[in-house]
Amino acid sequence: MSTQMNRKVASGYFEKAERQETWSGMPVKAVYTPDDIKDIKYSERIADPGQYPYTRGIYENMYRGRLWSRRQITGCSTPKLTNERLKYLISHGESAINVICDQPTQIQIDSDHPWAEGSVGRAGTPICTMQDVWTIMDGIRLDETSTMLTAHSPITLPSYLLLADKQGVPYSELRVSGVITPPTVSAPVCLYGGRESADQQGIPWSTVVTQGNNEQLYAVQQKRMKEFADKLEFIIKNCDKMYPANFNGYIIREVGVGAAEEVAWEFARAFEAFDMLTKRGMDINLIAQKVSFTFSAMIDIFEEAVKFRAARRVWARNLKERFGATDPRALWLKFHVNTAGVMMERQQPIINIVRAAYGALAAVLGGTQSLQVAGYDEAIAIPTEEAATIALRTQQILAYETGVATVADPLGGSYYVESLTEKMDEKMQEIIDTIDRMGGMTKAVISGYIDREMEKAWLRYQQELEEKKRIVVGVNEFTIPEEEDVDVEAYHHQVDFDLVHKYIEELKEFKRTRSRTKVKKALENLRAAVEAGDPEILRFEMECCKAGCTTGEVGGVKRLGVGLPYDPLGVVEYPFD
Amino acid sequence: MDKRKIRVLLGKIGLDGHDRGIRMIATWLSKAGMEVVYMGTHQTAERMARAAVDEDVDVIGLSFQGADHIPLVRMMSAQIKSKHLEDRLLVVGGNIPRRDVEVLKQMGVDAVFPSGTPMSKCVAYVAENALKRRK
Repeated sequence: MSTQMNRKVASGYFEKAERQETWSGMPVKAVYTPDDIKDIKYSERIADPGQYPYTRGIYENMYRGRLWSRRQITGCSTPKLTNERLKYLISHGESAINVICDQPTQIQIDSDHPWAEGSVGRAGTPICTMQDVWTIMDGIRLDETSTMLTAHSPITLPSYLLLADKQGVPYSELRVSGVITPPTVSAPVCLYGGRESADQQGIPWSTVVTQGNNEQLYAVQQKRMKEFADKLEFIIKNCDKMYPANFNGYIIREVGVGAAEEVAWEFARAFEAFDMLTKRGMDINLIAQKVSFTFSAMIDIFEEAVKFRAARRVWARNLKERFGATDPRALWLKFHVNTAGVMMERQQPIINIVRAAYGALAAVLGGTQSLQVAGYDEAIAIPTEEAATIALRTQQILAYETGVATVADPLGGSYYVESLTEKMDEKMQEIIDTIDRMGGMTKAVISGYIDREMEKAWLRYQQELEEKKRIVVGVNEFTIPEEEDVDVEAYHHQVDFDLVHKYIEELKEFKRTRSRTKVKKALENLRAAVEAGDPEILRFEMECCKAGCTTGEVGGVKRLGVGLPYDPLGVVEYPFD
Repeated sequence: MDKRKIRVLLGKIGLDGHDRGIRMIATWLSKAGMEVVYMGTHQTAERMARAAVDEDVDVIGLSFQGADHIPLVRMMSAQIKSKHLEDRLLVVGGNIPRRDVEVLKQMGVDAVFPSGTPMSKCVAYVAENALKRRK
């Protein structure tokens, strides 16, 4: 061996673990002892799984009662390709599904919109018509399959209900989450078109912040909150197995903030919605049990597991003490976890399989109800079939081979874990209280506070990478030359984009051949219903779907109904005047 | 010698909302003493090209995370040609697979900085090459 190589191996041998804090920057000691947990009262702070405050899990026997849902996020370039991928994953043991839309659909424009060119079917599936929803779900029974919808079209829920009618499935048997979006403002992050549209309010973000046009935002929010409340009431009454509102902390974490912020900011958003709903006279016990969350699982295994334990306790305590909830189902924090996309690296992509497995382990140790494992090609594109299969297999190894599902909360009682759970709880509550003092999450976002905190976090992270204060394998240490690295074939290399062009042409043809009179009438009825604050907007949306109205049209007239422009991008005019 | 600060136009064309990367590079380029005009997300190629003329920039920087870089950079290249901006440096960053780097370069992209590239490397490249072709 060369001298240089000898020196390297010697310094490697005596290398020390240098970090003295968690991924999020919480200071930790080298060792924890009984002293660290002597003041924590078991019955009050920890308690058995299934017992308040649910630190150890919401169910008594956890995964012996039911394994977590193996639920991979799926959104391929067309509805038909998405359906094929869903069937493929189900046939390989996926136990629940999660469908994500492409960017045009997320901001509620159709695939034939002039600005959609180049973005259709690139990062999810397009949904323009009821038929698209039906194509995606073709051959999948709605009462047998738990479906989660991430970042969706306004026509998804009505199309889904109409499909239930067609399949002969009673609404009470529908198992679906994420179908209605609470109109409280979340941190300005990538979903729903990012900071350019204030979280599906359809108001350009730049207008809200820079031109002080916040009166309009509040007015729209109040109208949307009424619609949300009406839909929630319909679902509470008719859809017993539906968890319609999903609050997404995952997307907040992806920008680089800490574990406590991820949970606390999205809790603050949920609490703001609860305040509005309870003021309308709705029962917190009924509202809260219909809510679920999506969280991230980053790479720091113990910090992440602790985050989920602390989150359950913070949720239960706030629901009980602040909102007076009494029904255990309202005190249970139910969540889905995506292993972090942001920890997946483009360099040496195959090792991402290991990172995702660690994230998945943390989620399961933390007692998640549902899990998506990111494909190893996450930093490149949406997963290829091969990457999605490996991700699903990662879940299956965890579930069937490792033994981690056998015992509820296996980390409970650990000096370190219990001590850090206390600190995490404290920090989350501090952040929730801070947001409350600002007047709630909407105001905290509008004031620019949230954006500044996010920016600080990602700049600090990048600075640490540049200075190698934080090591990411293959990125700033243990690197290899680009030309020696794996040249991954991405999903968009495999897809025949002629299929996407064909999809867009078929949409145009569909628009040409449907009954213009029926479409116009349905849209005008919906618009009038939205303007009047009609409690049955959902029924009018179903009529629109039946008449052949599209995502862009339904989203558009709903914007008109609350006093916003038809097209969120300000390019297309309402076509039926 | 031109004492004028290097002027950089940054923005995301298309509908993708992931802006952590481009805002990060905006900060680093500013810290290095360059003038950064940040257009935000939801831009079109035409708007970017118009801004490049109006703001008299030396560098146009785009960032992609939605696997839409090839069709969107093609639109940008067409705008650059039609507005005679070939003397400006065109730089792309984001989630770009290795095999797409050559494709982008053939469309006229001068350099591609995929996610994970150190900020210092991007800054050094821009500082050295910004004015090379500038008329």
